[in-house]
Amino acid sequence: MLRNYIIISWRNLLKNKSYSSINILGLALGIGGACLVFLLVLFETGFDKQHPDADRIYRVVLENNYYGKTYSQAIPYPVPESLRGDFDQFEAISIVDTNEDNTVITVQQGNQIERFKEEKGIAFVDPEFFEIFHYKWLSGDPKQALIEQRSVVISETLALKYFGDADPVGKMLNFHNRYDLKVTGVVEDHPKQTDIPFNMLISMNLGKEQKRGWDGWDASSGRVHCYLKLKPGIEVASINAQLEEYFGQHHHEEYAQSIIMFLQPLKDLHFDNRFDNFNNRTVSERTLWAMGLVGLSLLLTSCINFININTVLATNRSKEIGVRKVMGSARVQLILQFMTETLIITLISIVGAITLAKLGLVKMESLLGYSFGLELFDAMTLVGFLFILIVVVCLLAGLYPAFLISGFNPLEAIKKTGITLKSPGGFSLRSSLVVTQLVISQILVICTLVVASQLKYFIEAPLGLDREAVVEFPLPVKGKDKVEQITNQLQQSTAIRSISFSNTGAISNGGWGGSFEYDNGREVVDESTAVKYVDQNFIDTYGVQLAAGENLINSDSATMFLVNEAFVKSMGLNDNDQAIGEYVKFWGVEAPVVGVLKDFNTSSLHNPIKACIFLTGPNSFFMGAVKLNPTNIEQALAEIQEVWTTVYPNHIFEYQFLDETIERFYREEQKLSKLVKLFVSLAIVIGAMGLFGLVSFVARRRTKEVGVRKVLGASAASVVLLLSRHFVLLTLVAFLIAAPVSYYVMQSWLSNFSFQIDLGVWVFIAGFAASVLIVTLTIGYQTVRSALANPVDSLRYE
Amino acid sequence: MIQLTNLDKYYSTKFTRTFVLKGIDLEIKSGEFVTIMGPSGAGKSTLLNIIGMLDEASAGEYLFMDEPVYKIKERKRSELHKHHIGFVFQAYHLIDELTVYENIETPLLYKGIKGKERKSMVADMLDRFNIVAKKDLFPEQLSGGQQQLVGVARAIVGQPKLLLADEPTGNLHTEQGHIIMDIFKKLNQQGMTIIQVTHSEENAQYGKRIVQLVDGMVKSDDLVAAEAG
Ligand SMILES: Nc1ncnc2c1ncn2[C@@H]1O[C@H](COP(=O)(O)OP(=O)(O)O)[C@@H](O)[C@H]1O
Ligand SMILES: [Mg+2]
Repeated sequence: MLRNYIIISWRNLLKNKSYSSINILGLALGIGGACLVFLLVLFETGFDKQHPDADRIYRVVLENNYYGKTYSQAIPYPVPESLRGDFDQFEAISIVDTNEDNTVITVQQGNQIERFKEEKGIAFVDPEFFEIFHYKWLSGDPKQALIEQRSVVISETLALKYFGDADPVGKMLNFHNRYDLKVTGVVEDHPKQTDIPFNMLISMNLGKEQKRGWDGWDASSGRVHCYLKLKPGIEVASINAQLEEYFGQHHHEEYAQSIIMFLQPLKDLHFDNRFDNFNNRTVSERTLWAMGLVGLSLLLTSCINFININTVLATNRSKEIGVRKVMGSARVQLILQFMTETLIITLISIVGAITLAKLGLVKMESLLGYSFGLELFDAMTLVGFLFILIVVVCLLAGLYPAFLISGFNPLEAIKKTGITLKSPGGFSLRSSLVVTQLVISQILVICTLVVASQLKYFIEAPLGLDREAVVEFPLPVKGKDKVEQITNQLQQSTAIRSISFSNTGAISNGGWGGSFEYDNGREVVDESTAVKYVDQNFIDTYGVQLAAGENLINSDSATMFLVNEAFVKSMGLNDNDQAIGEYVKFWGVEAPVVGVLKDFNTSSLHNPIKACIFLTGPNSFFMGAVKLNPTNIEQALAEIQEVWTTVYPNHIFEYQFLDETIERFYREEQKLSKLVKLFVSLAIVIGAMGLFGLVSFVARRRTKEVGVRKVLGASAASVVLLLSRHFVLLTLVAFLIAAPVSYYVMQSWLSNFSFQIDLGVWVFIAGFAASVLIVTLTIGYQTVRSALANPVDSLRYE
Repeated sequence: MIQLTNLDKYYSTKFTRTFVLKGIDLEIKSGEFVTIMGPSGAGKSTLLNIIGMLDEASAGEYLFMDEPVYKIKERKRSELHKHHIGFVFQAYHLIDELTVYENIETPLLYKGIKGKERKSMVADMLDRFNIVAKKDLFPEQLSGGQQQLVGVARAIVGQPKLLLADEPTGNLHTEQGHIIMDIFKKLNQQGMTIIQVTHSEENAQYGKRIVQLVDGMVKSDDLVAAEAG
């Protein structure tokens, strides 16, 4: 029996080649897209699963309420040691210090000296590190490995690179021409899916003269983290309660309330974008849900195609169905037969889908800028997913047509050449399905347009500063003398228009903050403000406008303040001029406001413009900025690098153009947008294919009607209208559903940002127009063809 | 085997009720060979379809093997189709995508007859109707007469008790028609109950009894005079 089913399915597939290919290609695209989304989600949710007791691993992080509310994973160097002494609830605790990239490793084999450059993957850790994180040991003892001073554990790949086939344990390597390290262990390379991605783990114990970091609690580094593992049965909440004021207690009383220390679970490391991780990449769970929905839409769209085309094809099968019933086929058997057919098509589609997904994966990885490194069939999960997908697709796509077809009255089925499926009056199921598809594609198109225009706005919105031809470079060592050295040497250059130094540059995410006091006559204002240490060239270099008063004058310590307009407002004043000459108390300094800067964005457009105070302080400069002569950029960069390198001979020059820095703030959104565009085009293609199939069928069925109408004198235009009216109407109905849904979704997405585009009518009009265009193009070919056909030809068939 | 009592069939529209069959009383015993004749539109096909349980009567009683048909559920009905009733259609209605062999085999698949036995039953049929050479052809590659041979083979391969044929020779030449009628006669002699609809007096002579239907009513019901030969 099964053989009979398969044979007839196969012959029918071949008989209706064009419909079959629409079915198969549509399903393949849908399943392929769903697979890609699944892989993406699988990849992103699979981080750091290799550690046993992962639920007991935490990172120590800080919430800073000192100025607004900011979060940071940056901890001062002494924190891990201090916590280790104060808590016995930790099974293990370790610093992870990654402040050492781009190093040179020297290995001596006999007389031969080899140098290797390591760009990343280096961490200085405590011996307990290996009690927290799981590594597979190829040689060495995890318990002992990093206890010895100046010991190092390296990955398999590094071991091979440095020492070839020889056993590396006991061998020495030199770290950046500073000290020799003894290899005490080799571990398997870390998996791709980890936010603890290290190849070289060096003992924090380097000896007195090479001690890393600093003793104070007043400075921290974003790349120094602290990880720990709780003893079994310890409640995180109880630890968090004890940690709440820990920072203040050890640092400064005044921080006790404002800096809150707490534990972040390891499983959040990859998703919580309040904090950074060692991959510099988090992905919000919301994004993953959104992608999941997109994947589901793809699947749904392709299943709807299948249903539409199959119910249409069923009318050609009615004789067979009738005959089978007359021969005694039970309804279940007919359902089974058609489900078998669906299964066959699904299986063929899956093969296509896997091929497409493999191609798509390459594209997706290049969009995302990181590689998944999972071979498609590596994961049993994926096989499981495909299996579930087969079942779901078969049920979703096959069950309804099968039920419908098997329910035909045998007499009618045999008698007529076709069965009309149109439900009398009302909206037929097929129309609802087409509307569903159109709704999906319209929502996707509208959302894509909104995301894209918000992104465009992000990148192009006026920020109140001039981002063109400005280069920023970090100062690895602070100090007034270095700043002066650089300034003096660069000033003469004709390629450079102006040069300025500051703590964080004009615009940055995460800045410094404090609170100021001001007596505006009615009350004493005590408000928080952002802080920027700048010099007098700041205004020129960044193209910021002075709204009132005068510029700062360089000095070693603050004797005057510049503020922005938002600051004036928070002083309780209405007019910029009123602020000039007023005395403000900030960080112990009482000084007059000499100038007011027009508001400019001091951080990304995700955030509002906050009050900001500007003061001089050459000892707090960490960032240099140069406004270049646009005709001479190459020369200027070379000059800056030369000067920089003479001032910091032991460091490596890095720079970034300001406009690129600004673009980078929106990296997540950009990736999202690219990815969504990819899938949206897929959804549209699938939907259009189904529509094409449907319309060609309708057109064929109505060939005679069209012929008669033309004989009666109907114009080609009126025939096109006749055939397309219905679908245009469906597009309109779909729009009435899609518009409010996408309005709601996008409004809530936009509300994440302080600076957002208005959800203008045009997006919706554009979405609708796109949909109409797609529908018209899709059905256009068929309708125009029937409209132009010679009526005699079509009537002759009857 | 079949007992129709005061059977009506009508179609209702909003205002009128059109009778297709009216007050049919008919008893057909096992082993009979009945020919239904009558002008076009008389209700012959409707009657045959009701007897074959492809259609339902509007009123009256129908007993099939002493069981009231209106009580029979859909599942039981397909069981009856599978095991007791074979159909032959004027337009053959072979399944286009299946070969001659597969067309004949299909009812056996529904009967759940297993491999070897099924093969020999199909082979029997091919033999009997002299179409062994055609077994791998598709219906569209056959002449009308050959198609109807396959149609009959398919109808009787499952050894039904009742064979219903609605103008089985309507699309055939006289010569081809006789071949089919000969087969029917033989089947009847072997014990199969046959009810056929035909316009041809000549073909009616192959049967044992002729029922004349006019305007949905039985006009006459006579035994065929003598054995034709
Ligand atoms: N579904 C239907 N609705 C209304 N009238 C029908 C329907 N089916 C058949 N009829 C009518 O019933 C009558 C008998 O049809 P039929 O049994 O096919 O006649 P015959 O086979 O004797 O030529 C015809 O007049 C036909 O028009
Ligand atoms: Mg008839």
